[in-house]
Order: sequence, then structure tokens, then C-alpha cells
Amino acid sequence: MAEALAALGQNYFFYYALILFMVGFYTTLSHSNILKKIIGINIMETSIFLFFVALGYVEGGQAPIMGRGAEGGPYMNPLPSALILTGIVVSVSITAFALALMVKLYHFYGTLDADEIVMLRGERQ
Amino acid sequence: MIYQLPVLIVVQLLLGSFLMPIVGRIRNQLIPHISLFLMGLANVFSIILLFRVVREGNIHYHLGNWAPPWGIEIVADLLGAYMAVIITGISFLVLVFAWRDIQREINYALRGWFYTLVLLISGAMVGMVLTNDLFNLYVMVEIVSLCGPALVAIRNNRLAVEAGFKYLVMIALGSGPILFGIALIYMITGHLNMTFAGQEVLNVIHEYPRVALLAQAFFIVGFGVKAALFPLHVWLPDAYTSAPSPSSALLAGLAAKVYIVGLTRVLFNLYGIDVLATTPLFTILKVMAVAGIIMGSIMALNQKDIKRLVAYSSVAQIGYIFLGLSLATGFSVTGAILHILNHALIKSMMFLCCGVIIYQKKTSNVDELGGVGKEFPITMICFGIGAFAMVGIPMLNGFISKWYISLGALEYGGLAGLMYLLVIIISSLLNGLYYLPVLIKAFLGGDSQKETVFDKAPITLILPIVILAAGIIILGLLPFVPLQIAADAAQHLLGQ
Repeated sequence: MAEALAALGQNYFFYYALILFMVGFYTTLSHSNILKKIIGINIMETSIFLFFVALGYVEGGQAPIMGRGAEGGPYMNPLPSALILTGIVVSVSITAFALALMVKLYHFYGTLDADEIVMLRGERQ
Repeated sequence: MIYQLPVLIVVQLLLGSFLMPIVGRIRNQLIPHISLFLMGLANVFSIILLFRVVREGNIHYHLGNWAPPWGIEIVADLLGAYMAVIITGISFLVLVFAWRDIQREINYALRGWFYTLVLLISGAMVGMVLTNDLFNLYVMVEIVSLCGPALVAIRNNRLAVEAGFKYLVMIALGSGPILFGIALIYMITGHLNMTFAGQEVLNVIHEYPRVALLAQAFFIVGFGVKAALFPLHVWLPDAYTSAPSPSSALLAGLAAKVYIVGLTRVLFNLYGIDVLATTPLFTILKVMAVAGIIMGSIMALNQKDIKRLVAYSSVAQIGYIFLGLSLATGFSVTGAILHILNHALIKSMMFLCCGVIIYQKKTSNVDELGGVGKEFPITMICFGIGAFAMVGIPMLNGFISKWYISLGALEYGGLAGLMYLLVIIISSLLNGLYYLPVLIKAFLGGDSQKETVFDKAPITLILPIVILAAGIIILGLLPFVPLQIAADAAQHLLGQ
């Protein structure tokens, strides 16, 4: 038990990322408001970025730049941060595209409620 | 130059797509010509690549000349080169079809963007099947995922925008788990190259069995949503129905398959068949595939919209591919890889046929299509060939792949194997049940006074359909070349 708690304490950010991931996933699936769905997707993706960046963190590590005193000492893994930069770009594009479609949807249906949109679409068919 | 081929195909398509808006500024009429030229060139390159891979084995390409554990590696193996030929070939035919078709279906201002999107999605799909790097795979998956909803929403009416948004939300929910899975694999192995990560997974799997299992689950959910594996398919019917016909052909014929290839690569390369067999993965996939085969066919039964009918039949066909992969015997995996090609040919041809009919009749309701076979004999005969190939009539290509998946089910053995065989037979009958009424109505129904006239559609609409139909018949009669490639690729995947 004590061991499990110690492991939990050491890796608390993993669990935190998982909880955040589920919060985002649940928000997207359960809310009918389109804007909240987009926010949910963002929360979910942020949790993964947190997880990925936390992987590369080393307690007391230096930035891995040559000639800045990092030689010899422990340094942080730069790869996850570099990858997450790409991940953030992807996430921003998804958000921008979703927001653009949201504007279009409001223009066509006059509402941002996904359930109402499904109803309106059924009437017109 | 020949050694640059794997990356050249991807780069020229991506560069071409970025150039299209500039070309549009200079002369709008040039866009279709240049995109057709680039796609044709990519297809020629892919065929050369496939020849070389068959002759000399895998081609490894190190981007920027950084060796694998650090740099990004592109590996053109049999499966990748085979998929590249399918992707560029079918995209080329779809572009030929789109030349006239999108003039009816897409606003003038948006037409140039359609070509940009098609080039972008094809380039990303080829990149996805050729890459051997997990994060590179993720980036390519994201490009394909973002282009998909854009190709649907480009029609710019209320139905298409709603379907596109639903598609985008589902696919964004799929990309989260994929990235999480990659993070977990990186956490336990420290590698992003699939070959190196795969070797390391074997060393650490006893230390972190649960993390490896969790990553596997994330991959299945992520790629499953994108490939429309049965309970996760909810976005598919609306998206394929309301998209312009060339987009539907591209998305149904290629995009869904590419995700399956991505999932196959990740699972088989990272874990290896021995580890996969000890996890519940194959059982879960088999259940979902069987449910998809049956439910997809049943839901297609009472559809009134011809495009929606074809779209639901996609759910069933994707089930076949997953069933073949998850049975994991030599025959079934061969059948699954072959079915990727066959279904890509059949499904894109059927969506293009729907496109011709909607182009001329301006309706997609099955009930209003009585006698359409007399007005457009070529189109409807091709549609019929596609329908029969889907049912699995011998001499057509669908039969060969279904035969191999069935052989795989028998090879799997036992009562379960017989049950899978039964599922395939029942689903074939259901396929017949929902396609035959359409054909009967088209050829026997309607106004019998109407005399047979030659198809009045423009040649650029008819030609791609006839080429695809010819491909279906030729591959049905002489399947040897793709069959040999699929069998070798299956052996490589199963590590025999």
C-alpha cells in the first residue's frame, strides 16, 4: 500500500494527465453545445501535451544547450518538447477549422445546439 | 534519383498542393491540368517504386541523412509500395472525374481549393503508408484527418457543413488517443522509430505489461474511429452522403483503408504477432468486425438514398478487412490486404456511378431512379459489376478476397472458424438483398417506352468509371500479381 502510494506520489502528473484526458473526452461527448465540444477537444489534447512534456522532465536538469554549462550535469530530454510543438500546431489547426465550421453552422441553422441542429436537419429532408 | 523515390512521391504531392492557390491567382484554368499532371507523375513513380521493391526488397530512406534511431526513416516495403500505387492511381481517376463533376457540385470560388485538398490528402496518405516513424505517422494521420472533413464541407450547404463538423469532432476524438498511445510507447521504449521501438517493446513488455496494453487500446480506439470500425462509425453515413461525389469516392475508397494500414503497421511492427496473440486485442477486433459486417449490411437494407446505401455497405466491407487481419492466419491476412485493393476499386467506382446519376438526374432517391439503366446503360452496367463484385460473384475481384478471408476462417479452425465463414456467407446474401432492388428498378422499372440511348454524360465522367470496372473484371480473372504481393506482405507482417 505504502509502495503504491509512493509510486502514485512520484508519478502524480501521469494520473493528472489521464484524469484531464477523460474530462476532455467526456465534455466533448456529453455536451450538446458545439463550442463546449470544441473546448472539450482542447482539454483532451492539452492533457496529452502535459503528459508528453512531463516525460522529458528531469529533476534539476538543465536545458540541453551546448556551452551553457549543461555538459556533464543532468539535462532534460528535448525531444518531447520538440514533438509537442508540432502537436500544438495540429491542435490549433483542428480548433481553427472547427470554429470556422461552427460559424458556418450558426449561419445555416441559427443555433449552436447540436441536438437542435439534428432536429432542424431532419425537418428539411 | 531512384533512391529518392519514396520521399519524392510525398514531397511532390504536398508541394503541388501548396502551389495550387498561387497557380489559381495567376490562371485559374491551369489548376486541374497541373494537379492531374502531378498525380499522374506520382502514380508512375509509385509503380516504378513497387517494381523495385518487388525485385530488390525494401528501400530504406533516411530523411536528411540522419541514421534511424535519431532521424526519421521512410521504409518502402511491399505493403507500403502496393498502397502507394492504389492511392495515387485511384486519386488520379477521381481527379479526372472531378474535372466536370465539381462544376455542378462546388461553388466557383471553392473549386481551386478542392484540388489543393485532393493533392494534400493523397500526399499525406502515401506518406502515412511509407513512414516508419511513429511521430511522422501521427502528423500524416492528422493531415489526412483534417482534409477529410474539409472535402466534405467544401460543398458548402447546410447538410454538408453539419456532416463535416460531426466528422471533424469524431476524428479529433480519435487523434487524441493515437498521440497518447505514441507517448506511452515512447515512455517505455525511448524510441519513435517503429523497428527500434518494436525490439525494445519485446524487452520491456514483462516490466510494463499494463502500459503496453493501454497503448494498444488507445491505438485501436484512435484508428478505429478514423477507419469507421463498427460501433465508432456514426460519422460515416452522413459524411459520405453529403460530400461531393469525387470526395466520397476518395474518402470511402482510400482514406478509411489507409488508417487500417496505419493500425496494422503500428500493431504488428511494435508488438509482433506473438505478443499480440497473448492480449485480448484480436478477440475485440473480431467481435467488432463481425458486428460491423452484419449491422452494416442490415442498416443498408432500408436506405432510400443511393449514396447512403453505398456508404453503409462501406461499414460492412471495412468489417471484412478487420476480420481478415484479426484472424491473423496467412490466408486471412492475404485476403484482407487484397480486399483493401478490391474494395478501393469497387467503392470508389460505385460512388462515381452515383455521381454520374446525380449529375444527370439531380436526385439520389432510389425510388425515383426507375428505368435509369436504359438511359445510362454504361454507368448502370458498371454499377451492376460493382454490386456483383461486392456480393462476391466468381470472376470478379471481390470474390477472390472473400475467398481468401473464408479460407483464413477455415484455417483458423474449430467452431469459431465455421461461425466466421457463416457470417461472411450471410453478409454476402445481405449484400445481394440491398443491391439487387436498385439494379432491378434501374433496368426493369420505370417507363418502358423510353428507348435506349447512349449515356449523355461527358466523357471525363464515364472514362474513370469504365477504367475502374475494367480493373474489377481483370483483377477477378487474373489476380496473380496483386495476390502474390499481398501474400508476401502478409508473410512479412506475420513474421513467417
